[in-house]
Amino acid sequence: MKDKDFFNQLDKELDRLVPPMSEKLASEPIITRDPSETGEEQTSKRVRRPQRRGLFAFVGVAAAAALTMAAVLPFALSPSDSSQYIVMRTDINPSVSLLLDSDYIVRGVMSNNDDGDALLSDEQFTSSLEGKSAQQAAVLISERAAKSGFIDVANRGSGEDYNRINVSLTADGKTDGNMADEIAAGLTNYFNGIGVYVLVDCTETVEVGIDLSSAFDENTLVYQRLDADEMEEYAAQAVYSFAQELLGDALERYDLYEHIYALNEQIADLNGGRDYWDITPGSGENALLCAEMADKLAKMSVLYDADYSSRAEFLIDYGAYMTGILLVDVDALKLLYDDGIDGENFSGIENFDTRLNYYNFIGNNVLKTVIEELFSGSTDTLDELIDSAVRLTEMRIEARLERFTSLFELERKPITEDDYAEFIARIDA
Amino acid sequence: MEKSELDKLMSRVAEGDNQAFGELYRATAKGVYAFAYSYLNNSSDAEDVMQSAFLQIKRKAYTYKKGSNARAWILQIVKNLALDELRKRKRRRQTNYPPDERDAVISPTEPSALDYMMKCLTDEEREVVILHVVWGYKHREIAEKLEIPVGTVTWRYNQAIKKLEKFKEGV
Repeated sequence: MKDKDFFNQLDKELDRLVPPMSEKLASEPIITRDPSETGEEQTSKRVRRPQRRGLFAFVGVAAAAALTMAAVLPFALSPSDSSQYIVMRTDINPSVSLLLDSDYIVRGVMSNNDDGDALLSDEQFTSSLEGKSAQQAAVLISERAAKSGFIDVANRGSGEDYNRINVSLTADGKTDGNMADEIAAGLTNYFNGIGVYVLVDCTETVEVGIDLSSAFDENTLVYQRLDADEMEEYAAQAVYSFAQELLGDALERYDLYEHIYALNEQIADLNGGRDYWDITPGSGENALLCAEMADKLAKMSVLYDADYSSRAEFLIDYGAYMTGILLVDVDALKLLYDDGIDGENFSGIENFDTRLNYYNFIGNNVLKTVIEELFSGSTDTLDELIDSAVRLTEMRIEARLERFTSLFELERKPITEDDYAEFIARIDA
Repeated sequence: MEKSELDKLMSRVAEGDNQAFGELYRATAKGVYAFAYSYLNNSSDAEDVMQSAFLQIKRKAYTYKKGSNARAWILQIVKNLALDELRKRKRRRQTNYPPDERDAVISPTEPSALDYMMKCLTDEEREVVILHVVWGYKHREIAEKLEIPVGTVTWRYNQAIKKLEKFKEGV
């Protein structure tokens, strides 16, 4: 058969398969003006975005595909026979909503932002929320957020810099009205017990006649509810966020190494060449420097699992680390971190040198592979790229948990009622 | 339909001309269907996406810039919807669905050209064939759209044609 015959047959098939215009479609009005300008209700939440250039045009598309592949369905809505629902929304930075039945038992879960997605990406954790009481679930979510570094366990609070958890309960019918107070008390007691200063703000409202349950379908994670364009944007942002987090972590490690080395030099100067590992702190300036040194070494141990109880171990690691980043312009990376990584300063060929500097410092081959291969626009290795991008997404939350769980699990003194009152006064809440 | 005619037609639709929309439907429905089918490989889903795409064309008509590339604008809508459908399908992947009866609408004794395309052409070849044959894109335009060299488009097209020539020859 000649190709012309083939296409004739294709045309005939399409004639048979494609139906005439339906009545519904024919009667649908044509929207000729932007509904948001005319005050009409939007029929879709999609917005037009400025076109991105270069790298992240590709990163977005492929990472979006990757995220699609990585879809996780912890558990779908399993409504009870209850005719009443309550939605409990917990905002820490991760934002997560839970659907509760009239007994305040969790029946559905939904993420409201990308950090919420990260929090709920662990299927086992998300499934564990089902059937829990509202108070239990609020604690579990907040604890998970703290273990992932979304709550700063070392922040004692001052001025406007403090940990805060907002919980809002919205019921579609009358409730006894005590649950907000119980949840607030439960969360406060929990965090006070583990020595973490957190302000909990919990409110409860009733909105009769609203449909609370329909939003809790099987699309637990935000990206599962996005259309292709929105997902592209979301995926690109996820990559920037991860790159920024890795940079922050690497800079902290660099600063720790530099501080420890400099402190040891100062201690040696004060002690006739005998350094931190050779002396007893004593008193005065020596004691202050040694205390600071001990603090930095403890941080190195907690954050990076590096035990420098001997000078030799520190010097070997320090030497290897500094040699590894010999070609890196760390000052430029500090500026990049302060500016925040985004499409303007990280994507495209014009920022290739910046990225190269970044990769030399971060040493994350997965990130490098994903970004650079996507930048090349190659479709031959799309499957590999998708695999890499999925891994990248998983790595973000794994890295956070690995880094911050050890901090979370450090023993702290419980916060007393007086301590908490002082905290409230410090933050002027 | 020529590109410029389609642009004019879509401009009329964007002004609220429902008659023009009817003409647009007749001119592009098969192309929309085939494009959706190339992603979904399923009649029922392709038809759903086609219906949704035309609904979106009406609802999003105000976003079309008059005189701009209507073909690309429409195809983008179809592509987005098809990808959405694929995502939904992945989410339902644990569920076994019965085969769509419409997929057997073509006599089993008569090989389906659509199915043959889905089975024998690569994704890249199929995209080039549909854009060229069903939508009337020139190779140069496909190269611009897909951001690949014209030679690659031509090569893919020729490869596809070689495979399609074997259609109905029992290969």
